[in-house]
Amino acid sequence: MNKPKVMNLFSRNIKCINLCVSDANIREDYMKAEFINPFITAAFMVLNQLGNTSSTKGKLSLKQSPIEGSDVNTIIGVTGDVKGQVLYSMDLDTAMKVSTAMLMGMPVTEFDELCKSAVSELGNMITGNAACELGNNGFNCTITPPTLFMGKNVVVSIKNLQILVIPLLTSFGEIVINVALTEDEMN
Amino acid sequence: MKTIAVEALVPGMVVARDVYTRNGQLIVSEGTKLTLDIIMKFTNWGIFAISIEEPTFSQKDHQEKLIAAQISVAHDRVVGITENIFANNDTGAIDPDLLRGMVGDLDNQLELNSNVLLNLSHLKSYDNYVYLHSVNVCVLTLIIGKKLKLSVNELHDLGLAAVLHDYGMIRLDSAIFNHERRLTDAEWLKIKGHPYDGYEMLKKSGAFNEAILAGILDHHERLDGSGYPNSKNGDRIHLFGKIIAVADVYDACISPRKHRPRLTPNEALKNLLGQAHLFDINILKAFVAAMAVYPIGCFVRLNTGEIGKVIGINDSSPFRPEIRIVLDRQRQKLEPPIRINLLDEEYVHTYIAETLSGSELDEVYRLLEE
Repeated sequence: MNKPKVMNLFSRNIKCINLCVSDANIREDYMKAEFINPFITAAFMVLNQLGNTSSTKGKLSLKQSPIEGSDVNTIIGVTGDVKGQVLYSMDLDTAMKVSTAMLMGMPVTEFDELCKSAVSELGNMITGNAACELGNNGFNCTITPPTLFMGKNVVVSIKNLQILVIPLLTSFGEIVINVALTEDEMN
Repeated sequence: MKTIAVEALVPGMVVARDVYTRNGQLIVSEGTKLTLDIIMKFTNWGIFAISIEEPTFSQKDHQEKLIAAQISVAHDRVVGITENIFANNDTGAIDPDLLRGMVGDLDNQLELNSNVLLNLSHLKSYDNYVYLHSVNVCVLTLIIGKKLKLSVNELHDLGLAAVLHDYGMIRLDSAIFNHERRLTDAEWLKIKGHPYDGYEMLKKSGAFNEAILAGILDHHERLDGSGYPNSKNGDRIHLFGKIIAVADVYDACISPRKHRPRLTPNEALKNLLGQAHLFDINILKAFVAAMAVYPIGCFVRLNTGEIGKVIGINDSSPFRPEIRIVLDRQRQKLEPPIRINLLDEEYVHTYIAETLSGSELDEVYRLLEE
């Protein structure tokens, strides 16, 4: 019986996300929608600022660590009331288009240092925004500076957390946001 | 020490007294530098106002002030020399050694503090645009040349060509380049002659090498062959000409002219990148890498709502400059302004949301009485 099961994981937030998961063992309270929604909202807002007004969200899924990255990966840590990591992955072509948009239309032919800082900054902007929103919702947290690494065969291990995968379909190409956050137990 | 409302708090301010919640839990201790997440915490804990240290000009501000005075004097001298050369109308009066020394001076000032020098070129305005423009273009070409790793000799030749790139303008009636109206075709033709005129006059003087002369001749050529005077394209254009072209267009855009308002540095960059096919892409890249996405002199809004002015570029971090926050979230002028470096880890979730332009920028100038 491998039929995917659609379940509603989140109860605390009205803007619940329906997850399509094949793993029935996911604990219901594992990742709250209120940790996820700020990232989606922030991503759309930042993409809008870049002139990407028709981005859509693909099907969310849950994965277990480790996960595979893509050509260009940016990882940003979150600490505070909410802890964990956020990983932004995209293929090279998408990353170059993102760079052009971030660099005011500069034609990009190779993925150089300027492009790396552009893609890092995109991750920074989305995560920074999301962290503010999390703070507004009562989860104070701060983020760490982005780390960018390249290579398709990269495998990312994020502690023991499960990872929520949010694919964003943008005019640049697909940008995948992998969110692995958990509420700080001390809180 | 002063007490200030939470809404008026700005990242970078320093807490003067421990802050507790109503039930006595310490949130932030004395001496902490405020960051966005701390400021948000105050709101969440229901705190309305806190005590902060009276902001002072930082050590760095003081140091920069001293350097700025020094650089400003040197800069005035350079503009003065340029003015003499242009006003003299006699190539025999040009002292190439003096010019070479002057370019070396600018190079040294760039090494000393490029941020201060770039700030300067924004603030000064002269009656005659050409002199200041020549010096500004020289500074910008030196910046590009350094990024392209030219040798010192090449760099100084490039700087010389840049100072003299508009020398051919001395044959023009000054009314033409200080024009307020649309130019007639005949006037345009005269203007289009200036690269060749300058080249010819300076060649006759015998004081300059081929590379310098080629830079002057080619500075209005464009990569697709649409430039003048020789409609050269691609690699037929001399490297110096290609570099001066980028610097020339950028500085022309950010300078106030009688016939049009100035663009902001960020708009000027966008303008260049919007016609990237006209310029050498490697030179454009070097330029963006050196000037950064938010060049010095830009007014920007942070994602936290404050308005600041870009005062310093962090090498290899084009999105994260050093900023002087001049207006708080409620558009109150900060006196003195607060200096933050977006590259510092504590400001990691602060970023530049947008650059200001048009009427909004005018409004900021008005509030700052600048």
